[in-house]
This record gives sequence, structure tokens and C-alpha cells, in this order.
Amino acid sequence: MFRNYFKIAFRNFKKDKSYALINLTGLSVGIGVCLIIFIFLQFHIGFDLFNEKATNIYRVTTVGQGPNGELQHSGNMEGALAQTLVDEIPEIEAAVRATRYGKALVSIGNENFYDDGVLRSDPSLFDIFTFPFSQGNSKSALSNKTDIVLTEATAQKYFKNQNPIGQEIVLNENNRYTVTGIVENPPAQSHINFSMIVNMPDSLSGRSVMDWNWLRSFYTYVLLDEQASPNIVEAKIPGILEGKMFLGDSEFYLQPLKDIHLKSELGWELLPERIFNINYIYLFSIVGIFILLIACVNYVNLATARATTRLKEVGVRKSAGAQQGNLFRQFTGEILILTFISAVFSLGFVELMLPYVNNLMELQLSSSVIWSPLFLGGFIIAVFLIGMISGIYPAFVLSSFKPADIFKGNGKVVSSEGLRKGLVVFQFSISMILIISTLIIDRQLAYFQDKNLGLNTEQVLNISLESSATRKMGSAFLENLSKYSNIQSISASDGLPGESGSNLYLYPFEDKETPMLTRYMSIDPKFLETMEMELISGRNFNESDTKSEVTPAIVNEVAVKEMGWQPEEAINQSLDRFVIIGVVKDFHYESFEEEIRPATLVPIGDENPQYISARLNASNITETMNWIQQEWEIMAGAYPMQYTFMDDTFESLYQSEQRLGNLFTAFAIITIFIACLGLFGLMAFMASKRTKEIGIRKVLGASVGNIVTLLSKDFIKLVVLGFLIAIPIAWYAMNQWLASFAYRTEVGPDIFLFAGLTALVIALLTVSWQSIKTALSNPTESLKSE
Amino acid sequence: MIKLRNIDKYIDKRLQRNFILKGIDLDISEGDFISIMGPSGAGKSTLLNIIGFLDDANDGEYFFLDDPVHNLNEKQKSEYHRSYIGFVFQAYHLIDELTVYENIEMPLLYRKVKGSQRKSMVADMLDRFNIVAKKDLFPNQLSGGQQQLVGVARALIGSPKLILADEPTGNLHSDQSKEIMETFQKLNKEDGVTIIQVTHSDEMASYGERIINLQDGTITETNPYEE
Repeated sequence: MFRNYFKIAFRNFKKDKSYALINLTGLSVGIGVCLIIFIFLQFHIGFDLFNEKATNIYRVTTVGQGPNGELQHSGNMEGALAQTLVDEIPEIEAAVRATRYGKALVSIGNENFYDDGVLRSDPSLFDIFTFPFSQGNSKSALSNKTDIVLTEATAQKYFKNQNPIGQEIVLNENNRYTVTGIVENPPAQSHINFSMIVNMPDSLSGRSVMDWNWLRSFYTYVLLDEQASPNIVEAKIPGILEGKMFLGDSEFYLQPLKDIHLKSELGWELLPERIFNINYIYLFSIVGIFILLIACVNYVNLATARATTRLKEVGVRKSAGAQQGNLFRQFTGEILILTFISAVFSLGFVELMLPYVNNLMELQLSSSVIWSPLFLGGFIIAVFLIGMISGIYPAFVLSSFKPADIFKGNGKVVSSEGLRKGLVVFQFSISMILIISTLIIDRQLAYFQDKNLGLNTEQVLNISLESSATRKMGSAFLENLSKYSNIQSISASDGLPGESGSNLYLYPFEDKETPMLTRYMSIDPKFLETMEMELISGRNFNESDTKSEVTPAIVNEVAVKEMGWQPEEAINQSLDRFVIIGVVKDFHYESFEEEIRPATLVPIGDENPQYISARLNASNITETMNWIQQEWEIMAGAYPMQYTFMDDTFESLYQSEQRLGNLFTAFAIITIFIACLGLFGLMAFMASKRTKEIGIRKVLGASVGNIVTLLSKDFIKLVVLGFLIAIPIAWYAMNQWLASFAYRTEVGPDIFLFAGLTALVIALLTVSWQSIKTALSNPTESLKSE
Repeated sequence: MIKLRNIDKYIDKRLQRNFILKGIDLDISEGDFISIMGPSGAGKSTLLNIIGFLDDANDGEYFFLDDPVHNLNEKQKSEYHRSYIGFVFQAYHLIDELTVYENIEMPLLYRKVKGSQRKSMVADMLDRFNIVAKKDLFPNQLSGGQQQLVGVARALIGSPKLILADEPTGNLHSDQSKEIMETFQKLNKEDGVTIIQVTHSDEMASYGERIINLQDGTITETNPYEE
């Protein structure tokens, strides 16, 4: 019986190759995309679960109200909290603090490197988290304050093939450490990542980190015992801190380790790049399911349209004794065969496409997860379900025909045409929503790129002076560079737009109580010129400003506005301890999600600068860079030159949007491709069914144009209807997305029009190919065949 | 074997009821060879379909081997269908994607006959109709007469007690028609198979023992030749 079904299925596929091919391609790509999304989701959902005690690890966090009533979540805890919790709450078995060292100058012998991955933590890190040692051991590794633990990758990088244990590493020129342990590289699925770990110091900036109400910068994790309830534990925290720490209105809660990667809402994170927004998980799942559904729809449409070609078989089989169930099983069997073949192809698709996805998303996803027996088991069930979703309706329709109706050839046979039309509309709505979304994301990215930043980032080289030694030679280095003719302008500062920097509370108002938070940067008199920032009133700094009694300041427009002045009025007004001498046009200095906030610029004076910024001539960039590099080596040979181009820095501010844009482009292309495959198949079948009609029409004088219109117009109507349905959905969804940006592009009708036209042209090309072919065919051929 | 009482078959249009069959009373005994004749649209095929369980009457009673078909459910009908009835069609209705061998074998699959037994049954049938050499050909590689032989072979493979043939020779020329009719006659005489055929041709009808004339959905006369 089943052999018979197999045979007839394969003979049918062979007879109508385009039908089999369309379904195979659509389903393979659809299932493949879902698999890739699955691997992606699996990666994100599995975060931190490699930790053996993952279910009992929590991060201590607080939630309180911000100045505008919004909830502010924070994971920055006081240094003494961890030990206090262990001492006072019996359910807490262990606690650990972790904080970043910041970019460190790493000196090994005479060699210097910069390393951004140094972590400060406590020895208990290894009791709570699972970072296995390959040399040394977790008990003794961080027992002294001068101990340092490296990952295998770091050990390899710094010590090549030497034994790293016992070697000396100097951080930031005067902190000496001895390597006491090597741990395996932290997994990619860990929200804690590091290149090296040093012991938490007893004091920072000369004050004990165990003092209360001083420094909140430690992420604190606790390990609860198996039976403990996190709710009970977190309720105990305020009580034990009473009288020790200023609590305010913030409440403590224990954030489960497994929630950190996807559900964290902290304002600051240990490693923001290891946090992912769960909404994207939902979004990608939905997109994946829709792409798969569109592929299923192709089968439903083609199978029901082609039902007429199977009618005789249904009639004969039924008159030979087949029940509806037999036929139902046969027809679902056919789609299951197709789906399972597609599933095999889709595994190949995944292997083929994953490198591109990794490149696009800057991830290292591995397909190994899909080769596990457990996954394959689930996959087989899923593929079966996909086959059933596609096949159940066509199989039901086909198997329910009554042989008497079939043989009589009367019109009772169900046409399912309405359903098919509806499904084509569905396919094109989804395609169109994705196209519109892609266009809007692109438009927003273009908006970022074209937006007047209030400064010009092109050809600006920023050299960062990371160590005290390089900072000391900063002024001399600047002096040297300024002689070079390919450098248009050069300046020094202690902060830069696009980089994180310091913020300062000023009290400019009468009441001396209402604060104004401003970005605070020290710059030299050439800075505005180098950045091409525009002074709209007052004057720039000059050399003598650093010596004046009251520090002069240049503020931005927003600051002036917040203080209630016109730019001209602000000059010579006092601002807290400064006096305003100039107002600069607003410039972006942080993410586009935020509105521009007040900024205060002060003269840099004699203190050593942090950054040297140079505007280069557009020509000869390579030559100029080589020259600068040489100059650097002469002056600071031991230290690697740390530099970035400012336009790259700004681009990285919207990198995640860029990735989203790329991803949506891929989604949109795949969706419209699968939808058009189906349309093509449907059109080809319809045209072949109407060959005779077209022959007659041609004999009676219809032109090729008439015929193409006749064949295409029904489908084009459906595409247009799909477009109309897509507009409000896409408009609503994308406005939600755009609302997260303080600066956003306008969503005009042009985007919708462009998306609609794109889809229409693609659909037209798809259907007209077939209809032109049919229209051009010789009528005598088609009429003779009857 | 077959007892039809007051069988009606109609289609309801908006304002009127169009009768295809009206008040059909018919008795057929085991071993009969009956030809149903009548003009196009008289309801011959519909009557055949009702007898063969492919269609349901709207009204009336139908007893097959004394069982009331009008009260049977789909499954029971299907059982009868499988064990007692074979169909032969005017347009042969072979499945294009199956070979001669597979077409003949197909009804056995629905009767859950074992593989080895199926093999020998199909081989017998191929032998009987002298089409062994053609067993791996597809229907479109055969002539009309050969296709109809396969059609008959397929109808016979389940050893039915009743063969229903809807203009079995309608698409064949006279030599081929004769061959098919002689086959039917032989089956009827030697194996006692009941045969009901629909035909337009007096010559073909004459192979049968009894003729039923249908006109506008009612039986006008039976056995016009015997009187």
C-alpha cells in the first residue's frame, strides 16, 4: 500500500516537475530559515545555563523611580553588600562582586598591550559560577591581592608557549600581579566574560570599598541554597541594611541568572553587548513562523488548484473500494514525502547559510545543536506537523470528492478558489509588511547617517592616550603633528562626542537645588575648529582663559534653553561656578535614542589631555596615517597607538539597528521569493488550464497585450489587496519601533508607495512571464490538441 | 440480489425540483445479465452509480442481498462495495501514473490482500486477458481496447459478484467491443457473475438477458425483446 503511494507520489512529482520544485524550494528555504532562527534562539535562551548552579544564582538589583517617574533598574551595588548578605542571611551560601577594570595597559616584560577585558572579582566567583581551571585551582588562585587568573586565550596571547603560571603581569604601569591560574575560555553563552581576573582591591581612590554610602559600582551575585525562596530572601535585605546604607525608595529584588541575558532592564550592565532584548526573540520567532506558513500556503494553493488533475484517480480509487480515509492518508502522505525531502535539504541550507548569518549578526552560532538526537527527534515531529498543516486541507478536499460527481463531470467539485485568493493576499500582506519595515529601518539608518550631528566626523582621527606616560607626552605629540601639512587642524581634549564621558550636576537656577545634568568636557581652543562645531554666539576659548579666575565655559543650545535664555543673553551669565563665554550649536554626543542633553565645555588647561583629535586631508590618508604612526613610535614606542576614526565611532552607535536592517532585508527577500514561487506555480497552472480559451480568443483577434492582461489582472488585484492590508499593520508596527528614538525619520506615503510598487513589479514579472509565454503560443497548437 | 423500491434522485434548483430518477422499482437476481438503455440524460449512469454505492438516492429503499443499503453507514457500504462490486467505465479510467500491473493490483490494496497473494492474483488476471507482456506499460502506451481489458481485469480482480459497466464499449470499435462483451458473457455464464451494463447499442444490449429502458428517470419497459 505505502509503496504504491510512494510510487504514485514520485511519478506525479516527475510528471509535473515545476510543481514539485516550487514546493521543495519553498519548504526547504522556509524550514531552513526556521532552523537558523531556532539556532539563534537556542543560543540566546541557553545563556548562562552552562553554570552548574545556574538555577540558584541570582543578581542583586534595585528598582526605584527616576526623576520623571520612570522605573530605574540598577545592578550597581555597594562594595560591602556582598559580605553583609552572606553574614546576615543564612539562605545565601555565597556572594561575589564583579566590576570591570576598564581599559588596562598590560605590560609583560618590555611589551605593552591594551586589554579591555580585565575583571575585578572575588575568589568566590569560582564557587558560584562554573569557570573550570585548566592550571591552578579555584581554592588558591585568587588568595592574594596580587594574584591574577587568565583565560587560556589570554595566556596564549601574552605568553605564547611559555608556562604562564608564576609570570608577572603589570597593569596600568604600577600594579604588579602574578599569574596563579588559567581557566578555560568563558563560553559565548555567558553574560560574564573576561580576559583576566584580578582580586577586588581593598580600597579604590584611597578609600575602603567596604565603606557604606560611598561607591556603588559592584555587580553582586548570590548563590542561594537549594531550598531557599528568592522572594523570602529579597524581603530580608532591606531589614539588614537598615542604618548601614541609604535606601531611598528603591526596592531590592533578586534577578535570576537565567533572566539576565534576555530580560534585564538595568540602566547599566557589566557587558551591555552580552544582553539581548527578548522582544527580538519574539519578533524573529514570528517572522520565522510566517515565512514557513507562506511556504505551506504555496502547497495548499498549488495542490487545491491542481486538484482537477487528480480527480479521476480519486474517482477510480473510490470505485475500487477506497474509503475517504485511504485517500486522505495517500494525499497527506504525498505532502509528507515532500516535506521530509525538504527537511533534508533545509539541513544543507542551514550549513550553507550559517556562516553568512554569523557574519551578518557578528555571532559564532554553530549548527552542532541541530545534529543532537534530541533535536532531530523534535525536528521530525515538527516537520510532520508542517506537512500536516500544508496537507490537511488539500487532502481533505481531494479525498472528499464523490466519484459520481467526478464521473458525471458536473460542477459540484469544490474549487477552493476563494481560499486560494485569500491565501495569496495573506502571503503578499506579509511580504509587503516586511518590505515596508525594511525600507523604514533603512530610512532611519540613512537618517542617522545624514543627520546633522552638529559636528563633522569625516576624516577625524582620534588618538586615545591611555597610560600616564602617553598622556604626559600628549602636548608634545600634538605639537609635532600640527606641523604636518596633511593635518588640517588638531586639538586636545579629555572627552569626545560618541564616546562615553563624564557627566556633571550643575545648579544654575535661583534655588540652587534643582540640578541640571550636563555632559562635561575639557577642550583646547582648536577643538571647535577641528570638530567643525559652530559657535552661535559669544567667543571661543583662548590661551589666556586657563589662567582666568573664574572658569569660562561654552555651553550648548539645550543648556541655554533649559536655563531660559536666548543664546545672546547667555553670554557673561554665570553657570554654577562657571561663566558662560560662548554658545555652541547642539551636537550629538551619545546614542540617537536619547535627546541631546545639556553640555558644558571648559578649557583644558595644563592637565594632560586624554584624546588628540586631528582632521586629516581627504587625500593621502594612508600616507598621513603612516607618518603619524612613525611619530608615535618615536615618542611612545613601548605603547601601542590607540586610535579610531570618528565616523566609525558614530556608526557603532547604531550598529544594532544596522544589523536589524540587514536581517530584515534578508527576511523580506526570502519571503517575497517564496510568495512569488507560489504565484508563479499558480499562474503556470492557470495558464495551462486556459490554453484552449486563449487559443480561441487569439483566433478571434485578441492581442498579446489583451491576453496578458486577462491572465494577470486577477493576480495583480490580489497583490494590491495584500498591499492595502499591509499598510496599516506596517505603519503601526514601525511607528512603535521608531518611537524608541528621540531623533527619527518621517514615515511618509512615499515609503508605502515604493514598497507597493516594488512588490507589484516583482509580482508582475512573475505572472507576466507565464502569461506572455502562453499569449505568444500558436493558437492552432492549443486548439488541435482537443 | 438487488431490490430497488420507489427510488428518487433529484436536484433542487431555486424554484423547482429536477428529477433525475423518479419512482424506480427494480429487482435483479444473482446471475442476471442486464442492459440499461435509454436516451442521453435519462438517468442510466445515475441508476448505475446508486446500485454501485457511488451515489445515494434521495428517497426510496435499496436492498442489496436483503440488507437495506439506505440504512447502512459509509463503512458498511464500503465493505459491501469492496467485496461484491467491480466497476468498468466507458473512459476506462485507468490511473495514468500506475502501470498495467499496478492498476490491476490497486483494488487488492484496499482489500488488504497480502503481497504474495496479490502477486499471484494479478498474474492470473494478466494471464487470463493475455496482457502479461504489457504489465509494465503505462495506460497511455496501450490502445483503447487494451486499456478497457485492463479496466475489466481490474474490476474482476476482487472476484466481485456484481459487475457494473457504464458504456464499457462506448469508446471502442466493433472488434474490441465484441471481445469485451464475450468476456462479460463468459463471466456471467461460467462464473455466475451478475452484470449490469449501460449501453446505447442494441447489439451490445443483446449480449444480456434482460433490457431495462429508462426514459426521463422512469422505467418505461423491461425486456422489450422477449415479448
